[in-house]
Amino acid sequence: MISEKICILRTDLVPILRVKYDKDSFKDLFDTYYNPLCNFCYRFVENHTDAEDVVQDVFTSFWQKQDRIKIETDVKYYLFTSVRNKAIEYIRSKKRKMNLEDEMGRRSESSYTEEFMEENLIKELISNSVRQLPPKCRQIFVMSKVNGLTYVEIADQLNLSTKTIENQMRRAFQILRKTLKVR
Amino acid sequence: MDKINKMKPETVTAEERAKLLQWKEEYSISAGSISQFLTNMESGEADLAGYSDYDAKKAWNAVSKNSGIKEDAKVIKPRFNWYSVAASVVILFLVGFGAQQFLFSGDQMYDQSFAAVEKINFPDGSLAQVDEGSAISYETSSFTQERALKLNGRAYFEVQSDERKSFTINTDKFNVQVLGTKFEVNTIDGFESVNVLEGKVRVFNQESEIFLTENERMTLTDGKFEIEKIAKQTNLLSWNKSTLVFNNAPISEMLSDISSHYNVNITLQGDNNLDCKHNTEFRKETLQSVLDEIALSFGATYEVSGKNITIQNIQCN
Repeated sequence: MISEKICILRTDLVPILRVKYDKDSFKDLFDTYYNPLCNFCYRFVENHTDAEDVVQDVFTSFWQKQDRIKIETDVKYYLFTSVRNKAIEYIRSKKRKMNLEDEMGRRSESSYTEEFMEENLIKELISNSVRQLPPKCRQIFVMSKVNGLTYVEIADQLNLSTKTIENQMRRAFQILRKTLKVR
Repeated sequence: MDKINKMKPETVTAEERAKLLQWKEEYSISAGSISQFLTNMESGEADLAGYSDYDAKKAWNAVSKNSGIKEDAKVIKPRFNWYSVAASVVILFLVGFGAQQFLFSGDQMYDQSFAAVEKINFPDGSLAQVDEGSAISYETSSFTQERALKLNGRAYFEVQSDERKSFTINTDKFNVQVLGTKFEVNTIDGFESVNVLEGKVRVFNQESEIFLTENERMTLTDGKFEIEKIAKQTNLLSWNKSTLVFNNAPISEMLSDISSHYNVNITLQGDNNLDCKHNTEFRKETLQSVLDEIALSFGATYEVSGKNITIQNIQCN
């Protein structure tokens, strides 16, 4: 049996089954990975516009060179690796100060890619679910976990008690676990 | 995608199933790691700080346009006709997007390129590589009989030999007729040329005609054909691999190769030492990064104004 999990991510399966992406499945692939790839790329290029440019380039050339690309492992791993390589190339071509040479060396290791690929994909899944939280609950969650405010600061700003913030946060995590189907 | 949508458990082979399970094991994000991340968030060890929402819709528009997925320009209304035969289908290969202005034929389908340099296989076995921003069109119905096409821009051809039937490339400025050979044609303003790598080529227009053989180059100067020997071949056709290679090359040679690779005019100003030699290789570099390297290597400065580049003060180290 093929589990539900695999069916959801069927856009990943295209290369495994040795078929080509058509326009629709390529759009799926794009929609699934664009945002986490941009966030991943931002770590390298440290500029949102550049991050988007690099990721868009990777998708464009992926589509154009589909016939010639052999995906050895997994399409998302391929995409993250391509973005990493292109980002490094991009930085070098911009001849930015390379006093971060050591840091870049570390970042170009594949374990770095694996680690942050997973992290970014999880963040993406959670962010998508956060959008489905009830408005007030979402606002509090974002203030806390995205903007980094303390419960006291949030309570102050929203004119609510700290207790309410705590309750809303607990509720947020309950809903997230439910939508993400995890315990 | 059909294959996946139709993939019911009973239609999956044992091998496919094994592969899927292995993939799932290795690469799918497990529920456990999502749960762990949420737990870490709850305890304050993890957060979504800095995780941004990018405009994926806008980005998709750009990507689908740049990669040629977008279908919106598939049928183009006629502005003027290349061919008098109105009813026949002409295939127009158009490479890159700077070339929208070349879309001018009748109710014609064209195949949008997916690569910077597009390869075209003709029905007679000939092939062409068309540069970015260039366009080729030909009539499908009569191609095998006529062996004729229209070119706007730069392309490299390898023509299938046929003693009885010549192969003709028509351009706005001149025509090229061959039997079977390898050559490059460029019609871009200021860079008009035909470079012959193999065989014999006839270049003609209403005023005159010339014949070129192996390692000869025709340039169009003030409307006149001029022939010269191709001295060095290192970067001839560099555009179709997007690679420029310089092995201990004098700067004068580098600038001339860069000029023809990118179809730009390079003018020198001030004190320049053109004997400096340099080893380098540019792969898929933009013109700007090539100029940056020259500026850095030779202490020069440059200015770009459209297709004209001015370089100043090239010094050897």
